[in-house]
Amino acid sequence: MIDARLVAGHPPFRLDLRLHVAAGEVVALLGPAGCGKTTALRVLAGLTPSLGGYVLLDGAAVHARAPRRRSVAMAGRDPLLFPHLTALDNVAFGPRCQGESPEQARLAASAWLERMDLAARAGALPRELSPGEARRVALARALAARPRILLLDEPLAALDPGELAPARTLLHRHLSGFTGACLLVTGDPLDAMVAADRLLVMDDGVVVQEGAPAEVARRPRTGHAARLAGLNLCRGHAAGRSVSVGGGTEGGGTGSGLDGGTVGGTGAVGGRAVTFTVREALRGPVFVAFPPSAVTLSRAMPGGTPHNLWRGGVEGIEGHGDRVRVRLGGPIAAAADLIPATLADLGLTPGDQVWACVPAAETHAYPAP
Amino acid sequence: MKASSTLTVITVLKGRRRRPERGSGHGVAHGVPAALLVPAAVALALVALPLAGTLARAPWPSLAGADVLGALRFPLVTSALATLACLPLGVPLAWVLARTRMRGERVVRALVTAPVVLPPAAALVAVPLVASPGGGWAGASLRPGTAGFVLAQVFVGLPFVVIGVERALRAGDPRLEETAALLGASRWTVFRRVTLPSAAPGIAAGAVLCWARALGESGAALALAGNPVWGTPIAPPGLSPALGSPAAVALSLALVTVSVAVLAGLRGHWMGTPGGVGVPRAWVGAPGGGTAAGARRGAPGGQAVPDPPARAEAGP
Repeated sequence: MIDARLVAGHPPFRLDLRLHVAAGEVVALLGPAGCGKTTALRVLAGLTPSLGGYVLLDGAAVHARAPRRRSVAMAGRDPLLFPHLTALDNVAFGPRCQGESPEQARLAASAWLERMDLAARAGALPRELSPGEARRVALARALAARPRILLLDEPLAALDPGELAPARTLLHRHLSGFTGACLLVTGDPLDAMVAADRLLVMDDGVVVQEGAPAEVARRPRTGHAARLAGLNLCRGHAAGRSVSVGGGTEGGGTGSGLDGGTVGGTGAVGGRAVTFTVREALRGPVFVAFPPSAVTLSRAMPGGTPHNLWRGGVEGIEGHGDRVRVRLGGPIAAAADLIPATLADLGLTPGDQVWACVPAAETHAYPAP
Repeated sequence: MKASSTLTVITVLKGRRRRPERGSGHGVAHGVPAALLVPAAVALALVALPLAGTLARAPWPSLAGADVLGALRFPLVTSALATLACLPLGVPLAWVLARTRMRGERVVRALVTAPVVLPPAAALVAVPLVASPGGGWAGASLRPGTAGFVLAQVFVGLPFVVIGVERALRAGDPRLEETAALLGASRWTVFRRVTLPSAAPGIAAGAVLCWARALGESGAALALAGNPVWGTPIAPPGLSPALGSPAAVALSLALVTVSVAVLAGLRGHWMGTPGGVGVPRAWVGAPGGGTAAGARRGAPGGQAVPDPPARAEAGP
């Protein structure tokens, strides 16, 4: 349905994105702040001038058209409701502009408000609505315009927990019923995994990974995607089931999805490579992913001949649900989730050196570009 | 009644408006240093005493008999006409200044603002002169007719509309207009249904200030009435009935009252919408909300208004 190449940006930033979205498909754009997600939406809508590229909608070139002739609607973190119009008139704005009579437009608008469980708030001005209600009105306004393309820019970001659940339920319901193409920018793994049919992971203006949510969650290729998937990620060089990770080995240093660093960054403080034993037999540059819950920490060097053992410094400790997350620096930057009792037994404080170990069965290696 | 006092009072009112926003409200409880309190009281007295004196010394009995309404009609009607003429001209100019980038924008803005700092009578002399059919110095009567006088009022009032509206337009969120365009609105619909309503408080404030300034121009004409310029009386014929002494006093009183009332009434609108207290403004995106007010303070429109003291010496 959409076939586009979006090019934009001011040097040194450059957005260059190839995009295919089928009718009825929800594609989530993921990536760190400033990687060009919002710019991509704005170029697609015609609000930000593009530096070339094209946008085909059902085969017709629309990139030269004014925003209002692209059949695009947008809703996001800022609801951007018209402050002087009631919720009903905000939603009726689109139908009115498309030539419906005031009565028809208001009928359509009140139907949409009802679908958003907001029938009782139809007469409220935007400043009288709660943040969650305002987002739902904005979503209703976008859908009431009957767009072919729906652009959602973090539609659920920064909502109170109490308002998040109903807004999320409604969003997911309407996304699955939407027949056009939908692009969803989100920083929430839940929305990306549940609502999206396909994920595009962006970094610095380009797509670095594309795939089904399950695929991206299992085999993340960027620190940001690994963080969303809740995995430690490092880069290494494989020879069979043995992977050399960290240090000055080929394949660069290490990084982790969970320490905020980027994969392939310079995490190698120790300068000593660690040899990992993994499940898969591969050759050449690989990613190795493992969950923080699989990492065990100890003060003394463990006995026996454990695989995948390295020594790192504690860089930070924070609460993480019912676990405690310990961030480690050293040859492999990784996170380890412990139960609080274990943390108390170890008596860790930032700066301490510990041994970290992850069982081979918990690691997952896959080819890296 | 003059631009100087107008702007001074605006500045004073700005301060009053901001204080509760900071949530202090306890300044008095902490004590005010006498070093500040005494000059502040003197300053207030300097503003208030002349106004009070005018009221106290007015020949009230003779006013009762004079044709006060008749004397007021001409200034009121002409200033209203001037304001009505300023709106359809000033709002588009403000939009152009706020929304487009063009060469010489600074020059245009300086030109638009110039009447604010001109001496009051300059417009009375200059505008009808240019507008008169002869257009020359020699021969043509310098005495402005009603149309010429209204034109002079437009000249002095227009800056208030342009500055006020431009400020309001810049304070608005441009993404609201983008949203409207995405929903299918044409440029004209966007302007009519989103831009104009968002800027309405600024337009109203600009119009009221414009009207007050235009009304004040009658005072300037009155002050110069006895001093013919180049041998011609400068007050328009319509104002002549007002030149009798009691009516002139009535006119002065009316101008003072209107100026104070207008500025007191504008207090909220000039600086932002009075409503919406306690509403989280970040997500409302309403002009006049917290973020918009911050943007407004830094808006280039604000620079266009000259400092009030610069104008104070120019008054008669």
